[in-house]
Amino acid sequence: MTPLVELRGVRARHGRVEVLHGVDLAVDAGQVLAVLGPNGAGKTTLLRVLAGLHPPSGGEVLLGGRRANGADPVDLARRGLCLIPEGRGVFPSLTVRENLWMTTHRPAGLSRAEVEERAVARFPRLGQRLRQPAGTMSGGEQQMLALARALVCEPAVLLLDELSMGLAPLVVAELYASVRAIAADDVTIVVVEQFAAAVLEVADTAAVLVEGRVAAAGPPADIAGQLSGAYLGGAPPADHRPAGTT
Amino acid sequence: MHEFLVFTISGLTTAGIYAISASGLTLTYVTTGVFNIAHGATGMLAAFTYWQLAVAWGWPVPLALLFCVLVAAPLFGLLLERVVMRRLAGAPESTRLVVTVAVLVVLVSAAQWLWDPSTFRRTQGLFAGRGFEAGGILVPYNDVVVLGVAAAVAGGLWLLLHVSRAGVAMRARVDDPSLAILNGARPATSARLAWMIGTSLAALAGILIAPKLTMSAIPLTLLIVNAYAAAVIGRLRSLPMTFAGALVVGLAADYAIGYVPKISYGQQYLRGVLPVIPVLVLLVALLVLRASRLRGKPALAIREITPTPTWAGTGVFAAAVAFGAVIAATTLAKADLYSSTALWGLAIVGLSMVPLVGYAGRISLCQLSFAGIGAAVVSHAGGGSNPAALLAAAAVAAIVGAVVSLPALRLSGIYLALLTGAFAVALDNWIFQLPAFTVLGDQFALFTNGTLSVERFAVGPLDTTSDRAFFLTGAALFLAAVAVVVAVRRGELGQRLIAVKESPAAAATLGMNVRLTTLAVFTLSAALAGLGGGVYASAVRSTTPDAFSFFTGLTLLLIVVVAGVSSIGSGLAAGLLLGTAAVGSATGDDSARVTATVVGLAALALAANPNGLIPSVLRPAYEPVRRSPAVLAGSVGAITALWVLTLVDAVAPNVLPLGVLLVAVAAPLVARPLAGRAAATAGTEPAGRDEGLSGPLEWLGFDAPVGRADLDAIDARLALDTARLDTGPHLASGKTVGEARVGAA
Amino acid sequence: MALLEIRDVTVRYGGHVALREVTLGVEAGRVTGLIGPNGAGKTTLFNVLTGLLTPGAGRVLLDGEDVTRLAPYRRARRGMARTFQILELFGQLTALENVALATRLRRRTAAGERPDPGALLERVGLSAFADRRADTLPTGLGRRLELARALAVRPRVLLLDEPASGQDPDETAAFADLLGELADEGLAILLVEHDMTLVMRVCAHLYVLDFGTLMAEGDPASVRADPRVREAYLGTSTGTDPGTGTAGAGTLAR
Repeated sequence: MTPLVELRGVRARHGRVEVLHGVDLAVDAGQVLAVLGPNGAGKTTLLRVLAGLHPPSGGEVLLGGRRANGADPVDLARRGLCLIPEGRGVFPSLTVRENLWMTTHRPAGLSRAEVEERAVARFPRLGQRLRQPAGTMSGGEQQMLALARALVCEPAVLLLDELSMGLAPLVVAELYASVRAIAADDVTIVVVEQFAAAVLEVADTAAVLVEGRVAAAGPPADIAGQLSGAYLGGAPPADHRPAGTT
Repeated sequence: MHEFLVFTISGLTTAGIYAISASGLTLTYVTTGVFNIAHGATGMLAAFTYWQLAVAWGWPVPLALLFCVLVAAPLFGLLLERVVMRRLAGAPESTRLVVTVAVLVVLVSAAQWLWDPSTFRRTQGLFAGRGFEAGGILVPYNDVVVLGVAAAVAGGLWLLLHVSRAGVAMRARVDDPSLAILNGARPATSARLAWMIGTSLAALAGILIAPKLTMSAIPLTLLIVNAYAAAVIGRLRSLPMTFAGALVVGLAADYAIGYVPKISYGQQYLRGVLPVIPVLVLLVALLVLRASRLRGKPALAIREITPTPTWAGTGVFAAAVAFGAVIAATTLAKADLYSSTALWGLAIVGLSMVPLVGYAGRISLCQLSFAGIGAAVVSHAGGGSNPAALLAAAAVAAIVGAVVSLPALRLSGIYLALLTGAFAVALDNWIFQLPAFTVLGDQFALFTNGTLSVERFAVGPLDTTSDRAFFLTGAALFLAAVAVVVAVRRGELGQRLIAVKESPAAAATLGMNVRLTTLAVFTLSAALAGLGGGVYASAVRSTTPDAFSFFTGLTLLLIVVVAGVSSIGSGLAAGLLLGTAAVGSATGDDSARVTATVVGLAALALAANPNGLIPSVLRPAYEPVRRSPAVLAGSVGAITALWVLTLVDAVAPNVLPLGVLLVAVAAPLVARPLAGRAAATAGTEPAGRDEGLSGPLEWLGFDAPVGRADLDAIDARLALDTARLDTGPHLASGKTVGEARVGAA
Repeated sequence: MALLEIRDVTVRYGGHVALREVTLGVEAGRVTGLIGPNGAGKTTLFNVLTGLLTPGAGRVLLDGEDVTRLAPYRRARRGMARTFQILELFGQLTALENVALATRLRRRTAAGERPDPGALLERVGLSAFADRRADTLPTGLGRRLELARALAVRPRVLLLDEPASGQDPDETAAFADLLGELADEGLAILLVEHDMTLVMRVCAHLYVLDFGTLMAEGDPASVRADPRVREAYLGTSTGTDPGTGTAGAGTLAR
């Protein structure tokens, strides 16, 4: 079976600095791949390459078996590849309702009422806030809105970047519960995260990215054991979640 | 009471038109980040098109109106976006402003080519001025329709921005451009839509306002200032506040028309104030606006190249200028020499923009107005051919400049541009038209009877009355101004200016008073412009306010920017293009228009190369000449020989200019291979090259793409382990720079 | 007494609360650390301290003087300097000019003589790059140049925003030594940093910012042992959800 999302020897650079040095990864349809790694490992770049926002300088990006190097990000988005960027993936000055409307470009377009209905069904809390500017909601609610917006358009592939950033553990747990529910609907998910514990419970496979290379890949249980070496470099674990990326 | 109602109705109508115009301006600014100085010019062009269709060709009024607003204008907006504005993404704010100034100049010139300005034209209000009576007042149908249209525009924009997906996507793009892309919103679509709607609204406003004025390109274009005032009240963001602002501006303007003539005192001074009311509103609005936050470095796609001028290089430049001036002064025919004396004054005005626009990155649209003030001062104080009048001109212009810039110092650069534009318009329409007035028993005459006469000065044995003497003195004064500017750039002030341009936030947190620094440079450049105006007026002896008009000032700004606003040579370019016989004789009476058109078109190309021609083309071409003594001596020798031959009448007078041209073209061609060979025989790279790199490090990537070998060389030199470099800041800044590239990809 | 203090500072962006009643102090002669996940409000706090942002409520005290309403340059002249997370160098100037300009910006009447720009570059290891245009320097070197430039105004308080990112471990170690020296010279240093090894090594006192709220403070060992910090960073136990309380009125609507 052809993987739905595949990277073959992908390289990418920022100006004159190469940050991905030949990354090979593959995700089958309906699977969840967790990409873990410390600050500056190139995780965000990896997702941006997948979403078409950052042209790879080498290697191949394959989506559904077709080469997608340098594809237009707008086309990819409209065909159901959805990236929720790190930080808050919402438009702060637009109302919740308008944020949701932004998804209605999909060919299988839903009406606005349907979009709102689905979003509220998934995240009831949004229902009370439809007329509120998204920027005035709490961080967790904003991430819910971002997720909801990604979901109502029924993406084929969902790319999640640091969903947990700046959020309290309870909120993160709640969000990952949603991610698990989404995964159950056969959405292919690539999730980038430093917050290993939560994401490993959701993932089917996991990969550790260190300094632009895949340092380890395999079932989550195997990966969990190798993490502290990659992250902490021997520092005591308690003082250290390699907080925040860029 | 009856009268009051009449003015109120007419004021509301005016307000409606301003609101239409200002909302278009705000919409494009918010969506695309380009503040379109040419917004009013677009409306002017639409008004002329409408006149052509409805009056000259006799189309039915509704058809002509709808065609202009709904077909021609959106297409024009599309063209603007496609050809000009799209390339501005990632350009510095000053470049974005200057390019829209270029659009303005091109549109005004185009209108003047197409519709001969000397013909009188007029359009009628809708329904030919008919109306209905209500409570004893005649209410024109036109006004009712205009108000209805304004309300419809307000409602339509609200629906667009809050209900339609395209409009929601436009607002989304303002919030977060790359996230909008991720949601499948094409950035180009939003920009295109914004330009189409903005242009349509400009056109609608232009057509509706035209009956209130005569059909004339520049006054119609300058109506933009009224829209500025409304837009500034809306903080360039909020459409409802913009509509409120338009209401203030419109009512104030029409009440002024109604009531100012009733003031019995000082009527001759107040008459001109009417067209300036919106400018005063703008001023007040700027004063009450909250200070902008100090920003960090803007993410730019283009790096500016402004090599620091060296004294040696300046010496070469000065020698060349002096040499050229002496040749011109001794060989030009009397009439040509007279018409070329204006060169130096304009060159100094052009030079005055270098510290402000070039070093500090602030745009001023009123440098030529300061020159006008300088001219008036010289005329007033220089009666006894006293050279101190020039210093007085500089001083007075400096004071005026400081006062003008004060309200905008707290605000971002765009407001300074608006304020200076408004000031220039106020001077054009009001101050320069004032009759003589008396202050402290001293009578001041500005452009009494429309002209200003000036005596050339004399100091001891130096009498500048003859054209030849004045030409050479002008050159000397220009070189003195050059020395001042170079000294500024090389001194602490120059570094401060560049620091403020590069990162106001960093400058402030290191203890620099950013406002004071901006004030200093604005004052300095106003002083230089005042001096230039004085020199100009002395050169031409008798001048009109037209010479210092807003529009001419814009052309001057464009020349300087096209030439390279950080290069001292750009001032000379402005002088040569605007103030010499060469251009005038080549193109006849239309010279000003030709210059404006050509310069405007050239400035449109700035989006691609904001550094200007001197640093990116001329300097690289002539650098080998400077480095090759043989070529340099040969060139100077050839020109000197020709000069001597001309002086002794051995050759025809037009051989010299041709010879100079030939040498100018040939010298770089000869010097380039020589310089290459010299470098090869010496076994070293030419100076300025960096070891292992394909060019000087600072210039890498400008002429040719950065190669793999260059990257390796740099990495090796820095002993960098590239893998370890943190990518964070790249990503953060890539977000803003990247979006433009992504959009274009 | 702390040389630099903020008391009950609250900052809102629209309805989003970026900082909520934060109180902290930076003492002379030691390095104070400020840690927390991205988006916790660390850079906002720096902007409040340096005057680039005026807080909605609360006060900023420098050496006991209330500077909350003071312009950034006035604070700088009272001895505050900072570096930026995203480099804010004067790109068109050379490295040396960047530092030299800063030495002149300190008010002339300030006591003592101006520091030598060359010596400052030497101190951060940039002597070899003195004549390079600042915008041609890679990030790691740019950070050191920003540090040199900040030192050029002879600050009493130094605020460093992620100074070690973009530097390799050797450079970071050298940097840690330099911070130690500077603290010994009597500077009050506030350090925002993600590199925990560096933070734990140089900081005498730590503040933990989470969600705009100060959640813990103390010496590094006690902060490390604080169960709430462990929870926030590692998500091991349950806690309250500070996220749900921040929704405010729709002030973004304008």
